[in-house]
Amino acid sequence: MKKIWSFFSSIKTAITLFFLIALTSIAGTIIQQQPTPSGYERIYGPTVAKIIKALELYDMYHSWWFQLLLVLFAINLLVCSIDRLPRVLRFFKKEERFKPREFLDSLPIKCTSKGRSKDVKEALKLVEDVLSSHGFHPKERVEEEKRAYLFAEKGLLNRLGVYVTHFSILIVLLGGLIGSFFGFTGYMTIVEGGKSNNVVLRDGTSNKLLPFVLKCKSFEVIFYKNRPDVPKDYISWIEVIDGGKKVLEKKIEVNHPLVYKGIYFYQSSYGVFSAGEGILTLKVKDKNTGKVEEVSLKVGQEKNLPDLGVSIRLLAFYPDFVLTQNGPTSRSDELNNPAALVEILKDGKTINRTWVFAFFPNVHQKKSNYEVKFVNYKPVFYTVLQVSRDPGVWLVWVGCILMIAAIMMTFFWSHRRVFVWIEEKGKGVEVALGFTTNRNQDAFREKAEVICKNIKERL
Amino acid sequence: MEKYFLIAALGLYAISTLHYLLYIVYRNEKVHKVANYTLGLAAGLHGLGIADRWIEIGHFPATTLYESLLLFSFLVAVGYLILEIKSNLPVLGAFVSPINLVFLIAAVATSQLPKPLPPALRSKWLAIHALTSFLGEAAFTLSFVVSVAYLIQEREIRSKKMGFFFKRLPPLSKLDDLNYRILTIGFPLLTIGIVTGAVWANYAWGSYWSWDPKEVWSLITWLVYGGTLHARLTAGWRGRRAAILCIIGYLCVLFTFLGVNLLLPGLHTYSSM
Repeated sequence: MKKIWSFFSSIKTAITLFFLIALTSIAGTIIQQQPTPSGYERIYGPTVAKIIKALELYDMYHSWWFQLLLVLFAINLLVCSIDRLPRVLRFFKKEERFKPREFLDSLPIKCTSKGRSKDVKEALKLVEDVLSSHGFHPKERVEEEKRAYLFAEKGLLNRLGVYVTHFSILIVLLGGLIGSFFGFTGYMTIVEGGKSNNVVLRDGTSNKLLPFVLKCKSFEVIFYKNRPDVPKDYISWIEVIDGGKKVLEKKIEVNHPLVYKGIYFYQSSYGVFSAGEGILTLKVKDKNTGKVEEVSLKVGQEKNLPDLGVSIRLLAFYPDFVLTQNGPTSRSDELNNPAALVEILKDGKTINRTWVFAFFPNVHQKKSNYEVKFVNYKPVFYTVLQVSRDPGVWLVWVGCILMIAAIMMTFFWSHRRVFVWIEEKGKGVEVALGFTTNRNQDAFREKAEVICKNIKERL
Repeated sequence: MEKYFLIAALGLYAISTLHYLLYIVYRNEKVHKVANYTLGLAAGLHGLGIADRWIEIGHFPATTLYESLLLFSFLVAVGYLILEIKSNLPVLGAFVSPINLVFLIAAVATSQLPKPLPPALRSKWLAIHALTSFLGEAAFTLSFVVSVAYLIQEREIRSKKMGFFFKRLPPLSKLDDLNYRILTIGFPLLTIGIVTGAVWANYAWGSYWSWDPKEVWSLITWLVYGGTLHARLTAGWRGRRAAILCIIGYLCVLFTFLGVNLLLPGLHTYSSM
């Protein structure tokens, strides 16, 4: 037991683990990571593929040996901290603040001054003033007739910084562990207008049913105004239906997930569900009056244009129009050459029937009083939401904040102590100051020299 | 405007580099003044160039390789100016300025027109994450330079040839101490950079850590510097060993910053385009 303890409390073990984890991690950044060991033979040949499979290098960060390294790292962190903590806690005890005069010899920074103008009491007051003006407020004071003792310190908490840092890393690891055991990640696909509570989990083979339903009211892709070919944002308009009632309505966009009952929904991807059943937006112009009206409709729908006093009906829509022997048809579901057949009706009678092409706005417009132009066509999309629940994530954030604070506490502060012995010597007093710090001694030396000079001048 | 600011900055950087090199040879205070002032002016114009691009594109300019290199070399220049004031070791300028000049030339060489931002990058975390990460990497650049200077000085002393550098470089203990101080700034910044990246990833992709190559390499960098600090503070690995570890750490920094984007696939690869 003792051997195991000393192995884990050794700094050599710690440094070895640091570099071992760093070194092995490289493999997973070179070898494509995936849940199964398939396809490596083609790239690396049979021998290397076997090694990849045996060492689980295809998913190395979840492999038993990498997880073991992380566990060893955590144990090492814990044991090192427990082992070394008592050495630091003594600085919080009263005994540590009282030292005999001989202690001065062991201190790295010291100075002694003699003065004739003041007695012990006055000298003590002077030293206290000077130290206070440098931010060292006396913590302990012993005053006798012929001698006095003073202790002041700054940044005592710095001693704990390292331990808080270690503790915070353990919290982060614990948060990660809780997340991987009690959380899940998967994907949910919902067609516009459709509902779902089915989450396909990340491994792709199992699924999970949520206790509430999500409805996708609509999905849209927003493009940059100056670059109509580059997407700016993807937005799903979502309703949450719980217990048969609509409880929440929110848009999910990239970087802005929806949260409901601890489950996060992120915009992940999208696709075209049906190219033919979407909504076509057209602009109709009455050439005589110059009036223009915009209208959106589906195939088979008829809509009134009150400003123009007519109505319009969408007879057919072809996303990728082509004319064949059998008449017009669509080559694919892609919007390569969108074309629509519409008719204008007045008082229920067809007065004009025409083709509208998205890319050829001036083609095929029959002589008519009405000009119809293509504005846009929105197919029926489906949205893919990433769904995840991670009950450990709050611990991760607590750990991270603690870690940043503790690392700064460790490096930006130092524990600085000042010991002062004042003694009556002959006709005057002798003031001996000793300084010590756990970090950045050179900077403290400069400060100590200023303090010593100030005292010497006024003694 | 950005272009003119950067061309002017590049010219001034070149003049500054030349004078820092002349300074280490002749140790003439006037030459140092020229080097220092032109560097300050160059950094100022460099900063204006970045600000101009920021205003033009409307988001923090750190999403393409060009913008990243531009920001990084700016932070190295500013970091060095602070280092020179704090440490009063202008000889280090002869090491930093040529390296930084290379970064800036690489930036200008990969110069490209701004591209619209992919949806995932449209976030307030972009500025926080990129700035803290690059600040950390700039600090590590300075640590690398001090480590190289340490190893050169150590070699001169070992070979007992009080040569060219011996007279010019500061004593080993001073370099070692300086290196430690830079690490104590770089390491917290790297930590903040990784944490802000995790927070952002959690908003954008629903996972704070997904072992993507950029994340793994930043973790490797963090472990190497963490290991260096532990070795130094607990096991007493100072001086030569610490300097070598810092150089290894810096190779990790460079790989995290450039290698991952240029050589490995992953979420951050958009910036290599």
